[in-house]
Amino acid sequence: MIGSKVVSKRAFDEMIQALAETSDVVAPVSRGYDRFSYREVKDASTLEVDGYIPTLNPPKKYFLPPEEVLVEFATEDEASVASGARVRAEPRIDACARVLLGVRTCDLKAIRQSDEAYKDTFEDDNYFARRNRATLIGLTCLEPCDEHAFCAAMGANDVEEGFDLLLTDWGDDWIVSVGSERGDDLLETLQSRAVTEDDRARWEVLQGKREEAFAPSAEKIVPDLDALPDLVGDSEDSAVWIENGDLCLGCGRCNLVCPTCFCFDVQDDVSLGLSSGERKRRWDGCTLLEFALVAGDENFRSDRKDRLRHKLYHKTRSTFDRYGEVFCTGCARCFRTCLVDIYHPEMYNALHERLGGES
Amino acid sequence: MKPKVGFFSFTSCEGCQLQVLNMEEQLLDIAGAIDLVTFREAMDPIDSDYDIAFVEGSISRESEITVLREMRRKADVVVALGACAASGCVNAIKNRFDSEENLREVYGDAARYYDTIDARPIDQVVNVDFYLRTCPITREEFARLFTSLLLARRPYDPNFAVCVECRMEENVCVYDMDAGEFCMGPVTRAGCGALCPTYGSSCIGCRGFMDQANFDSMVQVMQDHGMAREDAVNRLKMFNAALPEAEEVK
Repeated sequence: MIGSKVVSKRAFDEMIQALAETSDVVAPVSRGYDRFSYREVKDASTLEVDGYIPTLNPPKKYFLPPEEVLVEFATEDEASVASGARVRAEPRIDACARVLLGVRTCDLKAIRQSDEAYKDTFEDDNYFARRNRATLIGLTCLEPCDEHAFCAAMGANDVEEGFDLLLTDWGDDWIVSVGSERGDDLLETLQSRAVTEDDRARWEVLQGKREEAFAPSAEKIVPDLDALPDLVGDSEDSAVWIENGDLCLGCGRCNLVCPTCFCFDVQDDVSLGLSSGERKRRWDGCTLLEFALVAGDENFRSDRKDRLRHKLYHKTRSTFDRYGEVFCTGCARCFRTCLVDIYHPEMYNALHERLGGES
Repeated sequence: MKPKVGFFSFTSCEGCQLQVLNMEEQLLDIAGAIDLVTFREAMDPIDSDYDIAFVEGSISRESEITVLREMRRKADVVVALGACAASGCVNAIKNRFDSEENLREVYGDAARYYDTIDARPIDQVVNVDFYLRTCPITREEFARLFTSLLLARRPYDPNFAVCVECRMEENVCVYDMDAGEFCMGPVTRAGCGALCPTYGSSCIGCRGFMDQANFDSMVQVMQDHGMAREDAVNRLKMFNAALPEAEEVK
């Protein structure tokens, strides 16, 4: 859907420069070697970076950092003696206001899905302390970022929600969609004009071009998106898992770089004096050997192939049953980081084919 | 009562004991929490039983086997202190060559004075309760294991790939740089915080292999990036030739 306002790139850039003075503004920045990372920026110039592919780590790192302290605890200090408690524990939440600039639609979708997961059962204070102070300024892709992205097959190359502002390149201007009150407030500070009939006509042409450009991405996966939960759910014993499991390094990279993987491990670190310590959580992944290891040294998924299968099962069957959606955005980070080129669409297609589906 | 602790050293550079002594700001905390009975690098030996024995070095002589077994009998808990004790480290490279030839090459005419056997991690001689890996050990990890022992908790000992910590650091993978680095992160146990890749080098496997490492795929990746198969195998065995899993590296 076409945005409601048009703003000049220059005015928008000035707004970002001003924002950068009072809060963290982060955007995808080149790391060389055709790789990108979210880093602090001072203006909006990175919005028009050439050759962008999804960042090494997704923006989830700002809401669920790779490692964070959840609780600080101490014993035997005056306060705990006075209260009669043996251990005094204080939650710790590090959060700051932050603007995420140039977030691609795949990542916007992933953030919306992570939000779902982190308010399931109870709201995760640490996650939402950061998430609620984040402003998401998205950017529409006019074409797939590379030949591996299967965002169109996952319906993630367009989003209707999950952003404060969403920009689409309009030559010297941006067309801006407003997705929240916060976005509205930001746009209020800028000189803008309403979209015209001319804009709408141009928009239709652009959409046609985009559809054409994204056709190969949409065709990466043969079965329908809605068919994936059953497809994976009913394929427990498929040879596809054995073949890919033999190849898989079990290194967990695909988990860690996945924008919708939300698992973590919790460990306590105690100081040498044994009088204080920290409870930390850090990223974890279901393809790792000890992920499903429980007390008594039982491991529910002790084979690599089972862990690989589980990863796809959770992205499709489990999340579909729990949240009504497949938790994959087709960003293809998992493929780009994989040293043995395991490609999710190929696994879906192979499962589909072996179940007698049309190819 | 404070636990009685001993530090022992076999075939090694003793760098791991030095790492403990390097924990200058924390040494008083450590010393205060224990009754230090033996520390080869810092004091004269006292004959005693031990609650915790930290053992550095690989076993590369018959005489060391005898001493290690005796020490195991006297210790409640045995901790392998560093790569030599935990996995054999570079000492075990010699196992891949003829022993007589090694002796002549290194000691020349004096070779006959040296009794030597294949270098091996200490768990190939006695039972080992816990492991501190890396060449040399990291001080942070020593502190963590030390407090876990004092609290009688199972220590945190990652059994996943260095890649996990490397992704957490958000490094550009050396295989994406194609800079002639051949990283072994995908098969090597994490816990070092991906130190080497983070500082522009690549993982050389000093923490030993993680369980279920996929060596076939690892060798293939190194080959795909231009390393000869034989070199890839040698590299994988550089720190780990004494591990039973090294047999799978072909």
